[in-house]
Amino acid sequence: MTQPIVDVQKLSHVYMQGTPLSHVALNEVSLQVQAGECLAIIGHTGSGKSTLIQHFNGLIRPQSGKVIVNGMDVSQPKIDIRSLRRQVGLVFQNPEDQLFEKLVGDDVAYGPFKMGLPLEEVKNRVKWAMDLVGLNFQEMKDRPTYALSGGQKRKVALAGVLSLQPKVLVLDEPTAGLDPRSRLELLGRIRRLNREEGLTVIFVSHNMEEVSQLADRVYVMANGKAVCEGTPRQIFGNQELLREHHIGTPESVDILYRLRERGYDINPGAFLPEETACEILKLIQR
Amino acid sequence: MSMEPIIRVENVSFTYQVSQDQQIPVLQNISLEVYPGEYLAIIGHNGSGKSTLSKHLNGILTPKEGDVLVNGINTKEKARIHEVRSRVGMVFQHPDNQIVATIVEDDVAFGLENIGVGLEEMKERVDFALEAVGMSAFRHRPPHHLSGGQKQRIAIAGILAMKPQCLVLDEATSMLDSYGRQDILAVVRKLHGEGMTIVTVTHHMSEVAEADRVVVMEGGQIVLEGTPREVFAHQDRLRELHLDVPDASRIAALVHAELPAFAPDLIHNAEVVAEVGRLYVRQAEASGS
Amino acid sequence: MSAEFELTRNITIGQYLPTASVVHRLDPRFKLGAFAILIVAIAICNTYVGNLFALAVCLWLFQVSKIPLHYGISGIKPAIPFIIILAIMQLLFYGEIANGGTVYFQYGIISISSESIRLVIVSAMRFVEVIFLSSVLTLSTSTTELTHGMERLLGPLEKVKFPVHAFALIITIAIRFVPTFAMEMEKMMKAQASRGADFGTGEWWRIVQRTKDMFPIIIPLFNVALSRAEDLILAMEARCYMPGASRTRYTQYKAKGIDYAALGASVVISVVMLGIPW
Repeated sequence: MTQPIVDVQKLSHVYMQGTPLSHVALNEVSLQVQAGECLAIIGHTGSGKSTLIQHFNGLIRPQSGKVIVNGMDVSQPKIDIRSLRRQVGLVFQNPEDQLFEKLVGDDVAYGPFKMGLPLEEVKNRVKWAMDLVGLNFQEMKDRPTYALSGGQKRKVALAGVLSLQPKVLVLDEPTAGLDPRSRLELLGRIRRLNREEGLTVIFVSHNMEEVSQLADRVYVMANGKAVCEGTPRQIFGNQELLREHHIGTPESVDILYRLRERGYDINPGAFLPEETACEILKLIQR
Repeated sequence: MSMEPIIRVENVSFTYQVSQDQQIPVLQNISLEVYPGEYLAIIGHNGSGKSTLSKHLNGILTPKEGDVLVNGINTKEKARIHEVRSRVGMVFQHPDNQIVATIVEDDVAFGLENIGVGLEEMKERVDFALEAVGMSAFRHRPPHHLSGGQKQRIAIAGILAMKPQCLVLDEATSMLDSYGRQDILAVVRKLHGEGMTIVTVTHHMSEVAEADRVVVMEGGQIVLEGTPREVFAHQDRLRELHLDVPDASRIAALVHAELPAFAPDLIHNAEVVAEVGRLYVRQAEASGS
Repeated sequence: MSAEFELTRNITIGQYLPTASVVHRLDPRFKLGAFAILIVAIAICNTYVGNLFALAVCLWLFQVSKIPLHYGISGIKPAIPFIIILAIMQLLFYGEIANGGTVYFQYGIISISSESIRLVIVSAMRFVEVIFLSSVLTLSTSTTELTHGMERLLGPLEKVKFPVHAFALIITIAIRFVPTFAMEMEKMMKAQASRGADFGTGEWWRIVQRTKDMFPIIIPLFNVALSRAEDLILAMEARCYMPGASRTRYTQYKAKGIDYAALGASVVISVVMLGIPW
């Protein structure tokens, strides 16, 4: 196996260590992500997902254990943290809140500009990033950010991170709060970034439809620990596991389980609506 | 229906004034009635006017043209706005932005203080409201340590304490994780069972499937209306409007396309399972005989 | 280093320490009143012995409220530079104005007398006492109780058209949103740092640059605060809030014997403190 692009080894993190409020967020978590993969991290609120992903670009340094990203050891105080943050683009929840420039183009340019790139290169990157998220450069660059819809603002924020040209894109709840139309579009964009641009994508989500549609592999966390990992098929096919860790299921999986509970011979891993329909057809046309 | 509606929206139009000479029309000549005990869902993509409509139901916004009557009281009557708002309560999207006080029970009492309820009755109502949403154990806690779902339950309690006839949920579950959402839905289901009128504005189609009636909005107008079953039958139209259907409906439609005997108009997971059962049994009988 | 952005997680406003002592259980109106009386008395008292007595009372208060003394002492630490500067000023310049006591040293307007030395020592003691007192107050009273108590004490001002309810509500909401904004700020700093921002790493004399570096945090924070405020207004209106309208109160306080006793005790202590002639 090739060297993973993100390698987390026995990572632990305690908030407010040494106070009565101390709280274990991560407990010996290990995780390997291969270049080009699309990984979903799921788990209940407070399971440590956010703490984990903030280690990937050095916002939080390891207290114990190791995090190695593209060969850089995040626990080393002397690494070039700016270079790390350019390689790992981290998009927070509701990233539209972080827009601060008046014009769309200026906001997307903030990252490349901070890198000290020449103006021409900044412009190229802004154009490239805006294209990737589906915003027309000519048409949108001089639009005021406050006049955009929620879905468009989120795309601008995503472009602002992509303009750093990261190798790994980390997203926290990428589609939370969007309407179905913007949600579907954004999911499509992220999928294309992963499949066509070759970006490694790691995302945290509560939305199991989203996980089932996007992820190659699912990593399940509970109480600061890794519970298990597998393909969406393996994870959603394991009802006991889902129940035990209070993981929601896509609606289609709920239907499959109900059918199986009634004694029908059905594959509970067939979670896409089309597959579920096929399974049902197989059952009653046999 | 012969029953008197709680809320009557009559030919309402509303525009947002952007600048002196620029106006954006948001609602165009909308009429809608909400009946006692009903569970009504309003859907539409962002910008369709659904949120603006919901804010008219308790006089937070008042129409530019037309009228909204709550129990016969026009929401434009400033002097009676308290009556309107204590009858139609509203829960908003952001759990964090609707809690006023630093202690849970103080927050639940906030509305009661505003309408001048006496102390003894206030205590009873706060107890009742916290009990109804299952948050009694948290009454002395500061709200910022609660989860999103718990905060929304507090927000609902704050409305319930005012003994409304109708509860309006304006995307109240959209910021919550699936468990928080299930919590809120369970509370809403229970309230509806006890006779509360519910109006919910949502993007989650599985929530819509629970309603008695669905109103679909687009461009400030009502473009589809009916029971969830009727509305979800228009899958192509909904797709045009950039709206989902529940997975159950989609799966049923896919199976129906291959096998016409399979009912296409299913909206609940349980119905799909039952339909499979029906056809499976028939098939077994056919092969048996 | 690992705690680079975690500063805000530690923010607590007020520092309530629930030890369930008799001081904690006092009616906040009476508690605030009693502490106010003591603080006024301390401000007036300028004798050595009077202040020693006041210091003793403070230590006793820590004892009965079951609050470890180090909480009070940690409150003094940040004030030390200020106390020292004040002491030097008083030592050098006060003797001239006071014109009393024995003059030990005189040069131009600089004059050190027994009066100025007394003032230096007494001021330092007053400082410590006031910090101790306010520590006991804030450690034994939740912010909610504090605002309630203050609202009730200011109640009579309503007669002169002072918007007491609104004032108390503003403070309550401010306190309520401190943790929310702390989290928001932490997120904003992290989000912008992820895009290559750096805060406060430039040379200190490049004030303009350093201020500009803060824009990516400050501007979004303002936007978020505004949209939250708009939401909050809607939510308050939906629950029938009308500025200036009369309201009832959910939390009621009933004074008990112990509350009157505490108020009485504060008066007696003040009289003794001020009555001591040395």
